[in-house]
Amino acid sequence: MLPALFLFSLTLFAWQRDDLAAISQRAGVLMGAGKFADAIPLYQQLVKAVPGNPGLVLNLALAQHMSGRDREAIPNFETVLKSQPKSLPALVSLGAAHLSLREPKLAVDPLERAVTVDPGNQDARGMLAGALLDLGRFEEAGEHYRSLSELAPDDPRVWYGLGMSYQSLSTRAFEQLQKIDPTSPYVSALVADTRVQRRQYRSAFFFYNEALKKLPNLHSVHAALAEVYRKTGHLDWAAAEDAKERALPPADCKLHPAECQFIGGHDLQAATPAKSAVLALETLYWQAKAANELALQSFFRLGQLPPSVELHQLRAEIARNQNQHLEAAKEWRSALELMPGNPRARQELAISLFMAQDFQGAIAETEDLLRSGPKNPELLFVAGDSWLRLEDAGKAIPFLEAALALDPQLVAAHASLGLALVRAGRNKEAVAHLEKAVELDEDGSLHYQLARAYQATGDAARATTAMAKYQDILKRVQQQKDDVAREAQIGPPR
Amino acid sequence: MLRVRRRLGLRDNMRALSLTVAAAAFLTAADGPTPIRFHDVAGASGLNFMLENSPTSRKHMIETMPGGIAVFDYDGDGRPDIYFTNGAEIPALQKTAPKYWNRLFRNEGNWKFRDVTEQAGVAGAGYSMGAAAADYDNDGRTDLFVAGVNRNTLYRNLGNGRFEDVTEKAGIKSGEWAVAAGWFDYDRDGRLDLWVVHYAKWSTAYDRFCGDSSRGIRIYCHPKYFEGIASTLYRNRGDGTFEDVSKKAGIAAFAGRGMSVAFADYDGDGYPDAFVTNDNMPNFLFHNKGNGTFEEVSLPAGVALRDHGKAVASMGAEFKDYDNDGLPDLAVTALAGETYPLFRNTGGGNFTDATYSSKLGALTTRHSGWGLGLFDFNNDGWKDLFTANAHVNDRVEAFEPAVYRELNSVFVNDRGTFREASAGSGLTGAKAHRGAAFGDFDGDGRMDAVVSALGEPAELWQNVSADAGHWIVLKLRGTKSNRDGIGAQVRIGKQYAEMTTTVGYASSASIGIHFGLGAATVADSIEIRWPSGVKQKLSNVKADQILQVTEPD
Repeated sequence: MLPALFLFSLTLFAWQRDDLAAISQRAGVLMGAGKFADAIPLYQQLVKAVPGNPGLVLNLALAQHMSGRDREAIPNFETVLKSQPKSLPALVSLGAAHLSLREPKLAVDPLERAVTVDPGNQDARGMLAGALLDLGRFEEAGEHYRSLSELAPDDPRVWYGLGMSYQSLSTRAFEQLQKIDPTSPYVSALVADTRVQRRQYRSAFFFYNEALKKLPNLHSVHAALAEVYRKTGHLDWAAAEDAKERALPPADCKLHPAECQFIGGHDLQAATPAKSAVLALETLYWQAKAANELALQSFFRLGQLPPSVELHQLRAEIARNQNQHLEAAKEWRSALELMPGNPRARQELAISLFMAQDFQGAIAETEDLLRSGPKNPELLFVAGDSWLRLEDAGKAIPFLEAALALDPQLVAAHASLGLALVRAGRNKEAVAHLEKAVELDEDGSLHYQLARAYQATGDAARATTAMAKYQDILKRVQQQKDDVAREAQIGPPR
Repeated sequence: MLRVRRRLGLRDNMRALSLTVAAAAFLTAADGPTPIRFHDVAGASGLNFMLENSPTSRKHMIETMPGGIAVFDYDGDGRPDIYFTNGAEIPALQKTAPKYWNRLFRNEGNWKFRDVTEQAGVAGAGYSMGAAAADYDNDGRTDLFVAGVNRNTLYRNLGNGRFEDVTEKAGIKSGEWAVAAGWFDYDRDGRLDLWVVHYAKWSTAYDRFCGDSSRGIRIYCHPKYFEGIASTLYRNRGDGTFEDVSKKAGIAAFAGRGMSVAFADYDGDGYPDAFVTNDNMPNFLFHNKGNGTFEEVSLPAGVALRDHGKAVASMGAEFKDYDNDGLPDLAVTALAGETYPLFRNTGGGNFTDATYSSKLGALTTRHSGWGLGLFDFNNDGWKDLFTANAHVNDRVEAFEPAVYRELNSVFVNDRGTFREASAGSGLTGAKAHRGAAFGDFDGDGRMDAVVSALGEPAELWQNVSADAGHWIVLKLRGTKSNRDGIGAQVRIGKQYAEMTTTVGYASSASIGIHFGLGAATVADSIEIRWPSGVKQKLSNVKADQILQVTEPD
């Protein structure tokens, strides 16, 4: 995505002394050879010697940007743009510099200007779309990716970005819906859709029926229920649900425009309602469904292209959502074959290995990343917790302590360190960490650990209280499981 | 030139390193416990048993769980014989062909075994899982209980090489899925009572799909989908019949997905207690209150869960003193990623999770285990751990970084901590191992092992450890107490053991009590506390013998 170099001709400086011309020539050679850092002092000399020359300032800025010194490059790009507001290399490179510094908000303005100057510039538009996606401006990101899909239909980055834009739109609509009314039948229907994607058919069956209790005429739910029946081998019940779907009266398009758009296959309109539209539950529901549909179409196009980093990334994310972490790790490995050493992919691989309980593999990746890159609390946690799972508390403790030194709020690391300290016989120290971690306790295990640690330190009263809490949580969790099990039995159409 | 020198330097360094490693290995061998060696003699011995678990595409849970074994001397010739439980045709749950028969192999000496199933009348019926051998009627002949899917069988040993099915007559109920069982005298009335462990409610109609349909991978469902059942306790009335006292004894309220049972008097009050492993649920420890009732104390005692507070797939259990402090501890097998939990008895009714401190955690975290035995395989005075390994899920490799078929393992006890001793132990053959039972089949004082495996021939591991120490086996004969002396507490020096016939996963070994004595050729003192309360002391007992000890009046 980085712009091409724009090297200004030496003839610009013909009136100057010969040595300046020689410096300029040397700098140009270095830039051509990719030795950007070496070119910086030469351009600094030139800028000093010939003040106010935007070409030289741009070259200096480019050298700084290309050598990773983006913070220094930015004011120089801005200087160029003051005198040459439409300078494409300055606009594009300024946007790229901000992106490198993880400042997508500041990248948007120069990149939008670059796209206005040159609407066909794929680099500028691609960077702009990515920045907008990062900023949660999904509709705008989608528009740019859509334009790019016409400019570069074979570029996997475009289809991946477009799919992610739609998926994010869908997720946002769902979250808004849930915030407005978590008990809405629309929420139930969307939850059911996600359960189908995860192949959790009993759960999907339950939620579709919850939706139908309140909205028996909601289009597409009976059809979805029929699909659940087919997937679980109940073909006769599936036929009955299909018949119910067919028997539904057509939607009133004046009252339910979004529904009509979706059913009519106009996903784009349904997914991107006018800004003035009232955010009714129904509108959000159809927006979520339509955007999801568009995301699937984009990802389908991605899947038709030759293997790419983006395709593996997508597959890895799907596998992760389905709790198939070994599959996710396989995909990240394939992605790394296409971009060897990429730190983000390696981090994702490490996390997938950790989630897949391949703790040896996770340790190998994380320790290497931590040796060669910045200390990251999540990675330190992964390394520490992996050692703990491999029953080596001695090796776990330094990683977990380092993770907490960087991020004292990392509750999972407190939990892990607490257990490691218990195993190391340091119960008193463990208590402090376990007390900080109990807020995470979903299954009672942390209260159990805390009770045992209190017991080991002679605090019988607290041990009793913590153990009682453990038992309460256990009962509650079991009750929830029983309720779900009772409700989620697949039965005949209701 | 520089490169050549560097290469030479590297080679020198490597040589130095390899010498260091070799020296370290030598020192380890010299300083550490005596190595343990096994040799599989099943093929040549005539022990040609194949465990027919009848795997189906519907992945019925029962298919992955059979394999209990009993080692006992059925004909009283002094040599331990071997009984294998076997599966049945599914969904009929009938032994429709001889390949499904349970099998009894008579030990004919010199590592030769003969199939005597038909003569003995113990081919069984239904889908069998576990076995428990003991002399429940105190007639001097070891009887046999077989646990199975909706069908249990009690065989009375007639003493003429034949057994009689007395299930109905004895009042032993069937109808639930029993996995394991064990004999103990909970009320100390001199008659052995029976504890039957149940897994869950199940029938062949159960057809939940578990796995990944998109990849066409169906797997055995997670235990959470099965509703557990409580164990049953049968009190021996002494007239050949039994009474179901589960409710009266206070155990019927504790539904679990039971896998095994092990007994020991963990709190030293003279009454045997019961530990039941549960699959993905907290384990149970039933404290015998001495008045015919039990209280479940696993949580306060610290054996319900490992130190992380999460339930694991607890499989088999051994309730024995591994650290020679005179208190029975608990060793459990579980699945890969869970370790084989070890709970050390710290006295006063409390246990601590010693999985980490004993080093067993790090050694076992990648293994999955079923059968296990805490026995002193090298006779150095410390009980070692043998585990029959394999995962429960035959498609596990598609979902987890674990393997289905595994080699068995042996972990040598180095004065209270464990070391991996499998490499070089001779334990070969990755299989779907399940049950394991133990006995000294050739009378040489070294404990041998027999292991079953799903769909594959059973293994018979002759202990050939070259430098094993001296030993003694006590065969107890109760007079006031039950005839097998089950529950008797024996101390030799710092070593402590209780007479039991339950072992590991769904298995049984009625072989007396084995002690390794190391370099000692004489046991200075042997103290026995019989279940009746009678105390007995033997002095200056010669090593390397099987000693018959009768309970004094």
